Amino acid sequence: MSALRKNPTVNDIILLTGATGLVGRYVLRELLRSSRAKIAVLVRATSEKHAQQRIAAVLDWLKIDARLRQRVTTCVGDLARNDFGESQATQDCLQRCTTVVHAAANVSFSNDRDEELAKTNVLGTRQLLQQVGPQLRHWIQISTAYVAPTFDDIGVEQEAKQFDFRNDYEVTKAAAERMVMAVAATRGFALTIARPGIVVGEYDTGRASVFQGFYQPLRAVARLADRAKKNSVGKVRIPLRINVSPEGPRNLVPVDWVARVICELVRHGENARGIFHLTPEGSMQNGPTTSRDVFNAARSRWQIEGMTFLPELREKDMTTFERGFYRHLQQIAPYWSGEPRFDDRQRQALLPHLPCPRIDEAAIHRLLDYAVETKWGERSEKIAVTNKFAAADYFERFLPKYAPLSTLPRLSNVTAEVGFRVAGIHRGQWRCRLVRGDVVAVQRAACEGAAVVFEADGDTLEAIVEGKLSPQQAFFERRVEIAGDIEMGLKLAMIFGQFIVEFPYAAQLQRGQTHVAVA
Amino acid sequence: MSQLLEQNVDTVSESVAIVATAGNLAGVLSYPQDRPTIGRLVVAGPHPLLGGTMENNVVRAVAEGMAAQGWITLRFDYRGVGNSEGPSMCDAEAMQSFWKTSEVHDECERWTDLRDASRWLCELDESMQPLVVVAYSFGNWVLSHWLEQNGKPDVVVGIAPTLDQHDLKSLAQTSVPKLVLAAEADFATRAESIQAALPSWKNTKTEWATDRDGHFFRGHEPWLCQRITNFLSDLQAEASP
Ligand SMILES: NC(=O)c1ccc[n+]([C@@H]2O[C@H](COP(=O)([O-])OP(=O)(O)OC[C@H]3O[C@@H](n4cnc5c(N)ncnc54)[C@H](OP(=O)(O)O)[C@@H]3O)[C@@H](O)[C@H]2O)c1
Repeated sequence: MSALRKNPTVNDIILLTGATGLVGRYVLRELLRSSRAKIAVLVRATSEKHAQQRIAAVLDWLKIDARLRQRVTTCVGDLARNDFGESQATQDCLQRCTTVVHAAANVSFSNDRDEELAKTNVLGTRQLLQQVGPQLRHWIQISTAYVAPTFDDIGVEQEAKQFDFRNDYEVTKAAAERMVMAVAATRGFALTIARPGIVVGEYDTGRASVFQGFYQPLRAVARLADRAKKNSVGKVRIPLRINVSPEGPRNLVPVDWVARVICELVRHGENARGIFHLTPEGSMQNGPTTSRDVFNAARSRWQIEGMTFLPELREKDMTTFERGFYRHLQQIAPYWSGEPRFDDRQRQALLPHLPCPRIDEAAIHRLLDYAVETKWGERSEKIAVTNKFAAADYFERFLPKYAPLSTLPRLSNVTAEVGFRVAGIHRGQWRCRLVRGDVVAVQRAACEGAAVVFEADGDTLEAIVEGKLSPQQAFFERRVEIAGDIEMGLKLAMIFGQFIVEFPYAAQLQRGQTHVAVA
Repeated sequence: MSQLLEQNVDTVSESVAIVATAGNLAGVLSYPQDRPTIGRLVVAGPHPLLGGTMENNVVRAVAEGMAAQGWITLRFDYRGVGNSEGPSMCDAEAMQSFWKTSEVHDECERWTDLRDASRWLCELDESMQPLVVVAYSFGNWVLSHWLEQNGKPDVVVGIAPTLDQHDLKSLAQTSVPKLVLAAEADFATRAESIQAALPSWKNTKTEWATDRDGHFFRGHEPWLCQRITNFLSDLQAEASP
């Protein structure tokens, strides 16, 4: 095996999908740090510029310096669309890549989304396979450990064969695995299937960009704790019986470790053919994380009393309170009730130097601290703002800068001409043109002729854009007036309201002082 | 689990968690201080994507105003709104659909939130006093669905019913005494639609709100409480021997 084949070099292009997601972004960071190859990232976006903005936000989040960024190129592509790969830039990336790390997937556990899941996870993977060029040598398929065949409740590093999957997500992930295997066999590229367990935030810091799965029951507990009254010693009582075995394994793996393993698999090239479980090691000291570890951490994090384990608790014996709690966990129920253990001997044999760190109670505390600090993902990106609040700064700089990173561009049927008339100290008029969800122009201009005009004084605008007052509530309180098409105005208030939730503007700043607004 | 929010001269308000099918719903319970209540009243608010929270001016004013009149009242956030559990409606798909059609595919399921909130209030206050549901805007549709599913309030009040957008058949057909407070110049429903439909609604008294800020009643909330109080007092007078 030549060195070139083993370790992607400056001449190689690694195509990475799913880079805006939890796993993909850490893989991007790791690839930039540990290889010299160029990285082409495939991103869902409305334009090349939008794709670049989305990736720039991810690189900011990862704190990647300018030098490493130069190696990243972006191309636009939605795997679920029929016109995937039609743009020239995307074709170029697809044709020239030598390695593919395919991390993009629809990860919904909902069972009424089978079509969407199949479109991205199966048909999307097929489109990608069909369009990558002849240079391709190595394909790394990011799958999930939960499609592994199990023997005596141990999932093994073998082909996904059984059909009794827990949900449509697993069905589609297994189908994708089988399809890539078939294509690899005919086209002759090396295939690595990496199957992570339940991916949680970074080991040392608890940092994460998504808070699903493992986080869901803990978030429910946090809500109950926040609402309950503290007793005289500062504890809260939550009369909840947890209906799982306290010693049952939870296959938690930190995302930075997952990314490191994936990059090692990339580096091993053809030597890494096969199926690898990225799961807690069977041989791990103290065993893998258990349900007890998880709930003990929650108990101490929120000073909870009264939460006990009762594995045999039946639904008919639950209190209304408990029913409410468990109803909330319906989507993750198949994983909640019990998880297998996973055999990971193939991974350990190939990468003995990269043992999986154990997510113990202290690590869970870090995960929870970060989740709470960022309001479970409601605030995730950090934006540096240096100005005192000024309407002009908001409309002319902030809105056009962050709108492309928000949900707005996904509202492709929203086209409107909107005016903002601000009274008082921040007096002025601005016009904003939205075309298929893109903010294409925001400028200081008279509002006459706009379909909808919002009118408010500067203080109200400030409270709204900082997320302290919703636009609709401001309207109900008569602090905002809507002129023109009221119905469209109310709907635009909903859209701007969502933008503000995603990107609140930071004010109360001292002039010249850099302040970090958590958006 | 409840938390004291406010204590006015007349009324007390507590934030409460309502156990519901869709997960816990956040609510506010208001009731008169130091005097017996005269009935139970639940308010169903506007559409979540149009700022429909329990802090909406009409929802809040009716709940607090009626508590000051002697009622135990409950306002709540639909699932996924504010602190209520459940998925938020604010995702791209729902917003796109709402932009186009003013609807989100599963929005009518909020009727179970109203049912559960009413049930919760009745379990809390077992006085057997009448249960009144006041529905505002989209809340009328929610109420209509609940009635279709055998909901049994004793009296209903529909404020600015959204006749041009929703099929309010069950609300129209219920023989439960009804007051409709229709708004002139309502962006959501043309006056002609109300004039054409309401004569056939069963057991319904209609009052028109002229020059009262159209659909929104901003600054006219006390007028709403006054009309509701008068209607309920008239019903009581009719019922007493
Ligand atoms: N998280 C876990 O616990 C876990 C466990 C085992 C395996 N995995 C696997 O790891 C991979 C990454 O998961 P994750 O947790 O990072 O998920 P995630 O945070 O939801 O990210 C999913 C990524 O896929 C992209 N994507 C989704 N649909 C797409 C489409 N139609 N076209 C192009 N890109 C699309 C998303 O892009 P947008 O930003 O545009 O939405 C996003 O970048 C998946 O293959 C998943 O099955 C995850």
